[in-house]
Amino acid sequence: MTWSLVSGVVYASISGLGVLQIAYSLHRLLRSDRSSLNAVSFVFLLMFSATGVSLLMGLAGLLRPLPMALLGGGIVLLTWRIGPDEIGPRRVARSLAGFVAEARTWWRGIPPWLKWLTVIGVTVSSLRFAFLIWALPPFVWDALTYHLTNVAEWTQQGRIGLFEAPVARIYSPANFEVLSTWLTVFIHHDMMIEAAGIPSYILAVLAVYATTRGLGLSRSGSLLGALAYGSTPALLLATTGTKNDPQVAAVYLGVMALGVDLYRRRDGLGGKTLLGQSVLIVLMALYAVGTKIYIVHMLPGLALVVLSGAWAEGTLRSFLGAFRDSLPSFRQASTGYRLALSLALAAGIFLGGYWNVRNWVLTGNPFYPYGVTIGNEQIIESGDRIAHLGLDTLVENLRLLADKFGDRLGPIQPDLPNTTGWGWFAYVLGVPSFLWGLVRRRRLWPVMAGFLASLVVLFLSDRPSPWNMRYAIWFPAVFSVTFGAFWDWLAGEQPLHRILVAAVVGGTLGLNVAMVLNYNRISTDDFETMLSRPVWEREAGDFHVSVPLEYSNALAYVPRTAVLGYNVTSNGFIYPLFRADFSQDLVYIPFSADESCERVAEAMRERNTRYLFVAPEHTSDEKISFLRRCADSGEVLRERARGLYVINESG
Amino acid sequence: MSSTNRGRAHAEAWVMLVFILGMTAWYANPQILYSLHFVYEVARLLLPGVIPPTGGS
Repeated sequence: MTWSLVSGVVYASISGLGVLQIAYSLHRLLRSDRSSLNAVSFVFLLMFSATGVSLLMGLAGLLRPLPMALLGGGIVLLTWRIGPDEIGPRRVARSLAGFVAEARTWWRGIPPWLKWLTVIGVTVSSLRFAFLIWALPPFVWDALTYHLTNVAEWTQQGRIGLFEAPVARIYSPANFEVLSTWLTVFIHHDMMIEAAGIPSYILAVLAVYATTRGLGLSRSGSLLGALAYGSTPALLLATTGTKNDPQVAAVYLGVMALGVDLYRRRDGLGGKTLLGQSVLIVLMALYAVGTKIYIVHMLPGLALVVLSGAWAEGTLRSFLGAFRDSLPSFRQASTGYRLALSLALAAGIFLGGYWNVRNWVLTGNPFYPYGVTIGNEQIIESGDRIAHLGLDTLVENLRLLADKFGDRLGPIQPDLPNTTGWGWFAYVLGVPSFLWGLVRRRRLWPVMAGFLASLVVLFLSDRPSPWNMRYAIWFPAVFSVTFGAFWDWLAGEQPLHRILVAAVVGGTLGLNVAMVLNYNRISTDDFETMLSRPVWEREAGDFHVSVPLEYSNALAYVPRTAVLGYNVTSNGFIYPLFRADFSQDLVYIPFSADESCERVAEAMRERNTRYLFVAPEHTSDEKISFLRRCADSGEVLRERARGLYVINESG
Repeated sequence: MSSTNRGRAHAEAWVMLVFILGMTAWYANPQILYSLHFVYEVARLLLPGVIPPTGGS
């Protein structure tokens, strides 16, 4: 294990350098003249590049440490040897030095108390993330059903592709899963997998800061707003919950930051900068389409922000004129620039379009397994799920939001059952600031209208359920933005007001983090159980927060060298059966409770396995009863342990 | 800023503060229990003799 870990870390470092080089090259091409937007751009491009590299290598069947490292090292060497100076080592060093100098100047401009709050917030948050990633295996429902099932299969096979499984959602767009695979492929273990959401978390927080700065708010107000959004329970829970929603939220907020900057510019943007920022917006939107299609429902809200903002600021004419003028500047640019921009767009189309095009080719439905109905009309034939767009869905979702408003129905937990997940800050300071902004700050209206429009359009199709707010974890950012403006207004008031509000900010941020230290769900006993094992043996199948005990039996009784057959429903857990080091080969055994025991055994033999795993809540009760009857008859199957059936040697 | 405007802004700030405190009280019931439950559990583990377990019949 030690050697494979050391070599894995070395390969990961080399591959990481390649990813950094690609991200830096794209960043130079698309950068803005505003530091906060550049930070947003760079973090996004890192995610974009790591995903692109992993997807390419995965489709080529080269998703292994050595080929990934060779590609990364090759990219760096080639760029430095024959690439333009603009992205060469000297420029990288200069950019790094410039960034450090700028960060120092920025830090000096922050009041001491806010420096302390920032340091404490970042430290506590980092320690919490690190501890949870290290201590606990993944346990959130959808992650164990299909997100991480894809990651495990791809890591195990060294190839990104489809495989036979009863969970049709493995077809869903999977940029988040591809990015997660970058964290598993080098050490061939899921120890780091829960860190896959952290780049999205950082991007989301930076984007809130950039949006508030773009609106002309002070550094202090913007930083407080960003810290507040960073403490939102729904975001914190989803970040290490191996869910793809933070990635969509981060991109949404990133586009919001770029959009606000575009419409607020009275001085206009240079042709190339405007082109670069526009391409960046397109790349972000495409990347999110390849993550989760519901971003499409949020884009009208973003368009509303830019257009209504430009109209309100009186920049609409110059804004549209600048776009017209940017096309000639593209034509006049050097061939290298045009080629680079075209390549960036092609990469975006690849990451945004691959999954839906694949599904279209294979199933005839780009959104498979989702069918679409609008009103009463079926627009796209379904797989096994329906996305229903209609006013009735909107009304039902709004009713659910009204019920959940104030998080009064229970604790805030992953997947947000019966709560909004917005937390202390959003309700205590965010809601008052929002209402204050509505009355007092017209400048904020386009952004507020954009957030609300995105929520309403999302609610047209979001399946009404106790968990419907998990797609809206970006929404509390509007409270952070309006609070930033409120804080700046308070600057003109007596110090007492600011001190009192600052104290409430500190308290609400602390309470937000306190409630999610354990995902509001994991008991101290569960922590003790996991911590008593070496980090390599913290198996998702042995972590019984949502996983039934039967999964432990599969890990305990099936040899790693054997193929493990399983049968679960379309919403059942598959991931834990792979084991934390992805060493278990799995095969799906389809059967029905109407068949004979011999027929089931035959299906197992055909798939080269002696073992068949089932579990309550994850396999239908009829099938479990049927297998028990088979085992009781003792002819071909016997029960090795609860939930685990084996073909009799003599059978 | 005229004294009238300053007075209005001052009153507005106080109204906002009262609003914020009201929202704090409203949200605290029942979220304060959920928010501090785990902190309490950890403290009880670390200081077994100092912090008593939760009561029950």
